[in-house]
Amino acid sequence: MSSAEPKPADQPQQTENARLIFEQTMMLWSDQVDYASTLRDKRRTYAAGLALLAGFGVFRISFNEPAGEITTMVPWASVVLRIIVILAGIAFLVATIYLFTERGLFARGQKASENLGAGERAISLASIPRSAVDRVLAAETTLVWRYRDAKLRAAILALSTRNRRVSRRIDLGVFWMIAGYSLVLFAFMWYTLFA
Amino acid sequence: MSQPNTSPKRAVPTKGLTLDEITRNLYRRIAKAERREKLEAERINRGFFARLVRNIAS
Repeated sequence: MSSAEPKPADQPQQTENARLIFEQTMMLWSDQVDYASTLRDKRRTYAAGLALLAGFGVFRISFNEPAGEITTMVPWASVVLRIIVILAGIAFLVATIYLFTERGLFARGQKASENLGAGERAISLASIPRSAVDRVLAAETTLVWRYRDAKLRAAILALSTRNRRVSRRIDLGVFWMIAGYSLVLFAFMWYTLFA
Repeated sequence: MSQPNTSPKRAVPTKGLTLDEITRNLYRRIAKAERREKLEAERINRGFFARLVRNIAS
């Protein structure tokens, strides 16, 4: 059963269709922008969770016995307590690194898909180079819409790549933060049990 | 450069090309980068650690 080939759209229709396609791409772009700001808020929230630490006075735990105080803790238990606290500190350090850095501290070079430099805005990939402006002016409107669409797609790809990376780093940061808080809790329990 | 760069940022050669050709080249590059990006994401998601983290922190 062979149906007749659909008649190709005429020129004004094609222009309108190209515009509609661009509109669709624009939706994807604004979604990525929204997602980026969501991730920023998320990161800010978790950073506040990390700042709570200072309030807990975790950093006031000293290695030397305060003068005039008699420790009732069994020596090996206090050694274990110190180890737990050190591990918690390391976990919080790792969480801080993940939450506050854009890419790995030891990341060498870029992956193929990471086409943005540090601090570069993704939308810059959609800019129309000066060399192309004349050709854009001279071209048919359909082509201009398509050109804009391709440009915006490049920006979307870059931003979604960055979003994925940031999201992953936030997840890792939260993982280590939870680990750190668990260790702090464990240290409190240990202290209660043995002191 | 030893390997072809498929990132859409690296300027597509535009000299003497029509806007249509430039656009086609852009689309081609984006499609390539998207494919590569997808493979990379899959590779990351396969990792045990990533799965663990996703389960805990999702």
